[in-house]
Amino acid sequence: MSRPVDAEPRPPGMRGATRVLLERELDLAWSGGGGPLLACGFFACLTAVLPLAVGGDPRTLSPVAGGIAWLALALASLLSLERLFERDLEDGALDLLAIGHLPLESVVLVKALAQWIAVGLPLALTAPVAALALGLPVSLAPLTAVSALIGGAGFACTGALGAALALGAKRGGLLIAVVVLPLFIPPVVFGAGALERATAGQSPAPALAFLTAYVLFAGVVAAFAGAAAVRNAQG
Amino acid sequence: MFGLSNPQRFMDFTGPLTPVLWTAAAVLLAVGTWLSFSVPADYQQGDTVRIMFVHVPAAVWGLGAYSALGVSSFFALVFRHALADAAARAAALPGAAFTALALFTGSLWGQPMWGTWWVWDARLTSVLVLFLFYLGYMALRASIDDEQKGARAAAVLGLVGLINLPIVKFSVDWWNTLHQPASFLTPGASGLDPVYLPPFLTMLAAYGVLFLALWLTAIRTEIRRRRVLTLRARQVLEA
Amino acid sequence: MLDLDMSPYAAFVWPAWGVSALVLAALTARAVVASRKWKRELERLEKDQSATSDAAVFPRPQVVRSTIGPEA
Repeated sequence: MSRPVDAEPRPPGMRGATRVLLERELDLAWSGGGGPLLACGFFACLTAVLPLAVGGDPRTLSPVAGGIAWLALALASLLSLERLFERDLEDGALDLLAIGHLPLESVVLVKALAQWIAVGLPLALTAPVAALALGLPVSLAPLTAVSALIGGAGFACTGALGAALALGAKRGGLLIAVVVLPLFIPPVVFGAGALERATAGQSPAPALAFLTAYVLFAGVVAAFAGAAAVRNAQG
Repeated sequence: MFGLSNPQRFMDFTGPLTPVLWTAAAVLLAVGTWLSFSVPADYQQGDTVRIMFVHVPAAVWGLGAYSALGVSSFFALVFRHALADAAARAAALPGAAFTALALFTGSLWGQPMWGTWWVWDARLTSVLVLFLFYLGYMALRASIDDEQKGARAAAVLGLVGLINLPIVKFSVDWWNTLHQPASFLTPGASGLDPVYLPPFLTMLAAYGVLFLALWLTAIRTEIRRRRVLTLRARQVLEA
Repeated sequence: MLDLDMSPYAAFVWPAWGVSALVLAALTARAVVASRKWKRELERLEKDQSATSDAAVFPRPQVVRSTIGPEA
């Protein structure tokens, strides 16, 4: 049955609204110079600088390869966080999002999801390469990718929370880092710990379980706290 | 613009209380200091055991102050009470200072024992992370010009930090099992010799009462400061 | 009773206690000074406020500019 031509268009519904926002966020992430590639480039630079800093001896590098890869992952995830909400605040889109179809909590999560897909995914693919370059055993490459993927979701959620909190503040980038890095400690510990356990021949499963649990927790906290922070910033 | 009803009651209640707290803190500190230096030296740690009497209370109350900050932040967010926000803000600097003291004295305690100025064990690392939480809180508060917005954002962070703290502690403990540092002497691990309980408990109480005095005084100052700003604004309007 | 010879750990014990005492004293001083400062300022402003409002309610005879004439 066809609708009358001049009737109100059917509203998009939650799924549609989510999809539209997600597409927009991914578009924004990839536009303006390929942000995700920049993050990977930063990751690669960190990986290159480390051996130059501590000496290229595999005996020094290999034990810390997993940990360093995770540290670089955390730092690279901090990039492009500053603009996550700020761009929308500046051009008024944030006000529209706030009164729009999706609850603000969902908006925060969708933005975090977009961050994960746009930045976290490429980083998760770069991480095993970096770790191998630092001397991680080849057999651990898949585990590195998987743990980086899960951890990336945690970084995206917590990072989104930090970006929302720092909205409208001076020195946003550094402020987000100072606020968010202590909160990054659990995923870094669990992720790097998974690699360590695996290197020692033990099962990484408990560590991965903790990591997943953290990601879920971070998602919930980021949704509610991030929404509160955004409402606060709008005034 | 908040009315003076609750803050006024707070001021009336804490007015006679704070001098009592200051005096009690002074007495406890004096007694605790004397006790700390009159107990015999530990047969293993020697005289460095006396550092424990300033290290552990600082760490405990650094954590206590953060809990106060977090709970106050919760009330500030849920009830939008300006008094709760003042309480959160007032807890930050004393708490951060206590935590920094814990790190400094912990380092001095560790050097003669473990031969290094810093050990990445679960306890000290957790205290370091707590310090980082304080820094983030104070940085956020300072970076937002609008006082109301800055207060609200800081309240969110304070609460998020409080919820995350057990998780971070858990992850650091778990990390510790991976890395099995050299064994170290703690009051918990090796059992505290009862002869050390009096100075330890006295100093613990002293730091607690001192924090309470500092905190309440700072809240009272904050209430007065806001009242002053309100009056000044009114003066400008009436001029 | 009070044996103050901390050797060989004197270089650790005394700085630990000394810096602790300093920091606690500084915290206390800061809190007390700030408290007094704002208390003074508040009292000053409240006095001013009540002075101006008193003047509005009870005009001093020498500043009354009444068009009606002397007070009844």
